[in-house]
Amino acid sequence: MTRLAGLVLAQLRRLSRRHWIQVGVAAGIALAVVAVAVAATHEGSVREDSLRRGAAALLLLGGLSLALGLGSAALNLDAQSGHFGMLRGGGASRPELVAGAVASRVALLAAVVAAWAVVLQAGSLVLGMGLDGPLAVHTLAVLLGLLIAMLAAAAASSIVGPVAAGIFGGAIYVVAQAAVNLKAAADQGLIGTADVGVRILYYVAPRTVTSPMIADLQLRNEAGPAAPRVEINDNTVIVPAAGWDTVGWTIAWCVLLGLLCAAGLRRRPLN
Amino acid sequence: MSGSGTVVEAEDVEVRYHGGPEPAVRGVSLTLAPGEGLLVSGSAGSGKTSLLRGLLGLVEHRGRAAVLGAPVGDPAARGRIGYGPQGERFASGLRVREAVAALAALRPGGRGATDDALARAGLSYVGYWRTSRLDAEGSRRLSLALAIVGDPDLVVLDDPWVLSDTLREIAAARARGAAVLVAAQRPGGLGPALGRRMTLVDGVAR
Repeated sequence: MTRLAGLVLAQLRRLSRRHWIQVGVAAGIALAVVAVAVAATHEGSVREDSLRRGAAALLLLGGLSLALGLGSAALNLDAQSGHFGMLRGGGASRPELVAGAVASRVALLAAVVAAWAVVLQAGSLVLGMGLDGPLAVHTLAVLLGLLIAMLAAAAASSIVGPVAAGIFGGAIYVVAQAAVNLKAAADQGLIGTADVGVRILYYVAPRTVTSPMIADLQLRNEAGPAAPRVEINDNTVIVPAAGWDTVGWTIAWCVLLGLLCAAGLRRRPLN
Repeated sequence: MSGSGTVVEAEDVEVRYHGGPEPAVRGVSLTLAPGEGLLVSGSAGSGKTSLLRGLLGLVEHRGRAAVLGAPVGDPAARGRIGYGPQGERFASGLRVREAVAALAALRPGGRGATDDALARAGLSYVGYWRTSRLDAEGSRRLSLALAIVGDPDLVVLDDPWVLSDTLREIAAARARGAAVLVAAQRPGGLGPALGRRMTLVDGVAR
């Protein structure tokens, strides 16, 4: 086992023992079961829409809560409590501390989202709809957006406390979603004179990844709280599914935010 | 910059935290050779912990400081320093054994040393306890185990309790050629065990 793997494993142990995370994982699984049960009360395509709507709401709202909770305390609390000092004084470098803290959170977030997705896919099987490929793709797309929010909060946590870092991470997610929605509106000619500003925002800011499944549900106004219909001046904005360029852009932003985490801890005093 | 065989060499070291109006430590010079011990004493807030943190690279320092022949924070010395922090929350969320194993994994030749360190610190029987279950003495013993696991070349202890195990490990470390640096507000019997003493008053060595 490498030094970094040891640090990641130790962090995963600590995280998995936090009560709020255990409660969050269990609550997500319970809500996934509820989504399946609600879908079971419908038939045909309505049943499929119902399950996907419930799944999308759980993945976005539950996942975002988890991501912000994990990211907002990624670096600040361990720097203050003496945990980072213990590891740094014992031989770990600061980049290793950041890598351990961030990688363990990425792994945990992915594992929790995967656990929820497994329950949802099992529900789809039980309801006779087979494995839901579009939902699996949507799960991956949501996970990328959650990573943006978590890593933004983690980067902020090297400087500020958990509450401020969580608010920052949430704000970055809102900006990422707004960049996608506004670009779609601009492409439809609904923005007018702010076109240039919107395009600059789109090509500079992080973006969320819109899956084909949620784009279809949103177009039919069936997406629920995960993707309510977007309107500008009473005109419906049709948000298309993201292309691979947006996927690549989002991953690049994740890498950038990870580097910002390392930069933030580079000179921070450790207890 | 380090003289041959010097474990710690610091000259005119200043430690100042971000935004602090006054440095926590200023103008401190010290040398520590293999097998030597040094007790840094002083009242609460005198700069003992800040000096240790500066020498370990936990906070930035000014002035010249080298540990094990390399500038503070240099990878060359990484893993050859054992650090037992003060406080009780430094290993929160871990079991006692996991905390010591995590540090052992960072030291060359440290793998397999976990059980030995737990036994020497008197923690074998609570190895699978969560660290939150430890009382104040247990936390000090855990800090000792973290500092000695893998038998590093420099043992740094912040606010240790004067236990027979502590005194024995200080003597053992010095006997095998390691240097020992200890900060303590109430040194008790640590002074004779370490041999040399430095007192800090308002961040300045007296």
